[in-house]
Amino acid sequence: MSIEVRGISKSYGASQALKDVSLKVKSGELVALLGPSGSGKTTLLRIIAGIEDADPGSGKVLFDDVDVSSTDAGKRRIGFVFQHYALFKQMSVFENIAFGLRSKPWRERPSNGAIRAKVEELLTLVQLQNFAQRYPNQLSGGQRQRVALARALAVEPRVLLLDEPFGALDATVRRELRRWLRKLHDTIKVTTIFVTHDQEEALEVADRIAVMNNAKIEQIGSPEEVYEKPANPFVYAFLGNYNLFHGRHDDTPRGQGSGAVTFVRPHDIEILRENPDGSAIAARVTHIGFAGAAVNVELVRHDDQQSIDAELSNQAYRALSLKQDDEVFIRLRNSHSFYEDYAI
Amino acid sequence: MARATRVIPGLPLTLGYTLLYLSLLVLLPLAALVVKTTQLSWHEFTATIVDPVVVAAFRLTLGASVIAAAINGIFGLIVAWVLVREPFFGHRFFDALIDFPFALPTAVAGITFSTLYLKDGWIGGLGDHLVGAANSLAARGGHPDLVPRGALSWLDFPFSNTNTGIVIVLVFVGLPFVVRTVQPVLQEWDGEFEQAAHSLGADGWTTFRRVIFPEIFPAWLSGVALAFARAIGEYGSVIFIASNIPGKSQIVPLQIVIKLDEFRTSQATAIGVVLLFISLLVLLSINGIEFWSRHRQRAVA
Repeated sequence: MSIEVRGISKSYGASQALKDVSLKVKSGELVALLGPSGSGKTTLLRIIAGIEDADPGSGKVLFDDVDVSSTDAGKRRIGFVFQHYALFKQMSVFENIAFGLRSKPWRERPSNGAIRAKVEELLTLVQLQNFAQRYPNQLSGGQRQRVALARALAVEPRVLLLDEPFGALDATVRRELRRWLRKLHDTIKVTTIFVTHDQEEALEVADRIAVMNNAKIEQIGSPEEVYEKPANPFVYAFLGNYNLFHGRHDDTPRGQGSGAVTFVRPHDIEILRENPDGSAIAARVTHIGFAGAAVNVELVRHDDQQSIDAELSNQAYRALSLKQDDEVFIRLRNSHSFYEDYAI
Repeated sequence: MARATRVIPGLPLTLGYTLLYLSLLVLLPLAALVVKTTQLSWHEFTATIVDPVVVAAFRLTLGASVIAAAINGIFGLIVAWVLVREPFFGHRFFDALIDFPFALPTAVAGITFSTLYLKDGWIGGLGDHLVGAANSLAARGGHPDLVPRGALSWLDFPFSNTNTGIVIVLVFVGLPFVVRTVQPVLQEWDGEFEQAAHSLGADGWTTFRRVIFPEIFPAWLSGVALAFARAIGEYGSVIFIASNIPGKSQIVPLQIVIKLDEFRTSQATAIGVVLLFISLLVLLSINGIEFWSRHRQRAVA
């Protein structure tokens, strides 16, 4: 089912959580709402779910081109997964998953046998077949999140909404679970929107990413698009580590825009021993940090004493045989310049 | 594992003190009560207990206490809910008022309720009072009785000859227990559970019945148990409003007082032991249910 958000605003007293936000999600798509905390991403998700209402008269939420703005959350046929799972503590895993089915008005309520079959099917889907009779506090965080997902899927939602689904989990479980979510989405193909502040998670899992900041969507696009062609410095800065230079440093002539800023990812900084064509910048190595597959090198430019972070592959690092206090030259392999004076 | 550090120094001393304190205050008197009762032969004991007047007193005390605890269970929950969830203008004032029955001397409560609800009280004799007032106004204007006496007697609300007054007083003294035990649980309650239930299509009643109530149930139950225990032992406020007719409207504590007045101490303690036994039974079963409901979620399948 497709989702469209048209001109939604939301304010809490004096602070504005969403300013005239619009978003279109195609049927079967997996979209990430990515942004720092306070950017309004969770508010947007809760408005789509109907858990919260947008400011009166501000805009519409459409499911398959039907306005659902005034439809009750319980009637929108959505599956909502909370960051802290919100599993019912007094109920077993089985009863948690069956809750939505048992809560239907008796005319639509499936028989006990049908409920049992559905719950078992979902338990298999989330790989928790042997946990039906456990209680939530007997499960690990990852298992709880999977139960929450199964509970949301039990009512056969037209859209799945996940609020920081892996936010409360440790790094390894997170990585595992987000791959699993991607696979799950490819199997069940239900339109999904998830909220995250982790750019790696968004880039890896989503079909498209909506980067949010200050109650607005800054850019919407595929992971490649937002990463390779960021619309503004905020998007660039939010999607990874970066070095910031004032003025332009790419292929266009220097001095063209004095108000310009240039961003370079650490892995796009090349370190050279020589300065073949005289265009490289002289710098001194101040610190070398070993980080497994990569090596982080900190340098200081000779001309303006600005510090620069570079990331080398292990191989390149060994080839250069870098040591602290070495005098080297750096070149920018790939950079992005922006003209306006953005505050980040 | 971290070594446990003690906050209070000299544990053997404080432990000994605690045990001694509890023994002197609780165990010793209870033991004395039981010992005193054993001075009666079994025959005398049963004769005391099955005496129709005593049986009637037990029936009244237990019946009125059960009804009062049930009323408090329902309305205390509603009051706690409203105070926590639907803050209205002045809810702090009403919140402070909840503790009133704790603070008020029971005799004062008894007198207050009697003035209101007995035959000659404001509410108890409302119709007659209205008639009286109307007639005295008329008399001042020189008219004879304007309204016939007893014309509004159907408005009277007297409890002098029924035991409803006892229940009303017991509801009053037990009110804070349920409210004060349920309130903190409701305050800690995370709204996400309700949102989750709502998003799954559950209506308000289903959400309350299956999600919220199970969570507050242990606290609610102990509140009801406390209200019940308080009602069983309540003396001061009840004797003012009850008509205290033997076999009809005498509560058990009053029976004990009467036996003592007649210097039949052993019989008084016999009744006391039975009352003690009932309270203990209630306490144990409530604790059992609480334990069961708290640990059900931890049971390994």
